[in-house]
Amino acid sequence: MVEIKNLGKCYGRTVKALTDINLSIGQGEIIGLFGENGAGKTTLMKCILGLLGHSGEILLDGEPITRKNIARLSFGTCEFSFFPEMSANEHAEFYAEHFPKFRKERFRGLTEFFEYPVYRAIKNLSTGQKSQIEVILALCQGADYIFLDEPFVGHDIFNREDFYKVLLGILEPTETIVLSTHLIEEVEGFIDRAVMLRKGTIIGDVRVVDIEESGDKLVDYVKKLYGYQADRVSRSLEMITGAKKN
Amino acid sequence: MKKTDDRLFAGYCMGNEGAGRRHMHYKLMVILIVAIVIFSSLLFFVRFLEDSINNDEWKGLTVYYTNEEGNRDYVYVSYIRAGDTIRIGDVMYEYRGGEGRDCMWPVLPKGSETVFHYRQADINEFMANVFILFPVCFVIALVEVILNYRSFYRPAKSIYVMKRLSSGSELHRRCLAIPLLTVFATLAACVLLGLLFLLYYHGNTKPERLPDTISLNVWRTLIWWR
Repeated sequence: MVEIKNLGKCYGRTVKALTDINLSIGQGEIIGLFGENGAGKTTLMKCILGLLGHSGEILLDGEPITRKNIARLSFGTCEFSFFPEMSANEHAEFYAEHFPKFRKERFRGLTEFFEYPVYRAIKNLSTGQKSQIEVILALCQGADYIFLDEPFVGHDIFNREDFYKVLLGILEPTETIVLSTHLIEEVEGFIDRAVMLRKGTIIGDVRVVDIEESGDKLVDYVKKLYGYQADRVSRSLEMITGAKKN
Repeated sequence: MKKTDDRLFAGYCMGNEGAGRRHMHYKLMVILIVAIVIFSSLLFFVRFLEDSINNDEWKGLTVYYTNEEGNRDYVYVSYIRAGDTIRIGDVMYEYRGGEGRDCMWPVLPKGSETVFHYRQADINEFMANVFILFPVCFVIALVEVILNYRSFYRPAKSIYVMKRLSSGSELHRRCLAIPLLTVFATLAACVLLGLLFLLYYHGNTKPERLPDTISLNVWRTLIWWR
């Protein structure tokens, strides 16, 4: 279990990216992390992975996260963390060397399924393909906790659909996914839990099954939680066009 | 061999695509060493040859005089050039050049005797700036270190992978290995050349013209101006 206690992160002296975050991530969960742009989703993930300094405490099975246990966490990011000059196969060799639990069979299976050009340098591939290898490597590292930060950038709808199905098919019961995305409608079908961030704090943490049992949909629940006003655009347009008529 | 070679290099040199850049780094190292050897040798040997032609330029001086107590005393200067001053008793004398009685100003008191010793120039005169390319190599290596670390931040953030490796030294080895190798290789070339030049200086100077002590000012070999 990953336990986050009183996590805070400030950029400079004035920008509070995260404030007093308390969260537990259990094994085997698929968690959707939602929030508007700048809510702190990426910052939260980076703090957990030790990529950013922070206040508070983050524990993995009761132990601080250090180089000894960091291999139990993997990260796929829309910023891309691959080595551009290397091909997918070369990445697999690198990962296998440095992450003892790297899943070679899973890697081969995923790259074959997505017909991935494994011998070409990643810098020469499309954005969608870059995003694909980012996610594939995160899934194959052999980690117990897989953090995916907006992993579907550049993926077409068919690719995304295939990906969700493959993800559900290959994950082991002990593998945990924390997935940050704006595509709530697409992921609500397979995530277990939704954590909502707003301006650096957690404003909601619900099990999807509980929302469904109440007869609601996750996307509507999130809209209510964020106070989304559906008629905001039409009201603004009325004001603009009304002003023109006058 | 290829795998070992790859392990020494930073992000933009990794993998098959980076092989060309790895070779470029090795070539650069060889070019720097060759440049140091050629430049340093030319500078040293041309100066040495020039000094051999004008071999009466350097002189040492002993001035024998009678001091205030009436005893015979002397002042010895290893090297003296026009404009240099020496103190005899309470008086400062300036060497004007030549070897006549009026070579010093004010003129030396009666009974004084000047003995000039023809010398080989001090080793530091030949070695001034011979290794000026070494600081250049050092700066090149420093720039390389900066670019190496930068390669893990752009164009992709592979630093996120490097920071998650169980080996904390992987990143630093890849960023520092080749620049350090460059610095040490060029330093070794400079040290070997320096020894060679010292031996040549000692071996090609008549014993009577050798300075009393041969001491090399290392900083002067790197950067020196008059």
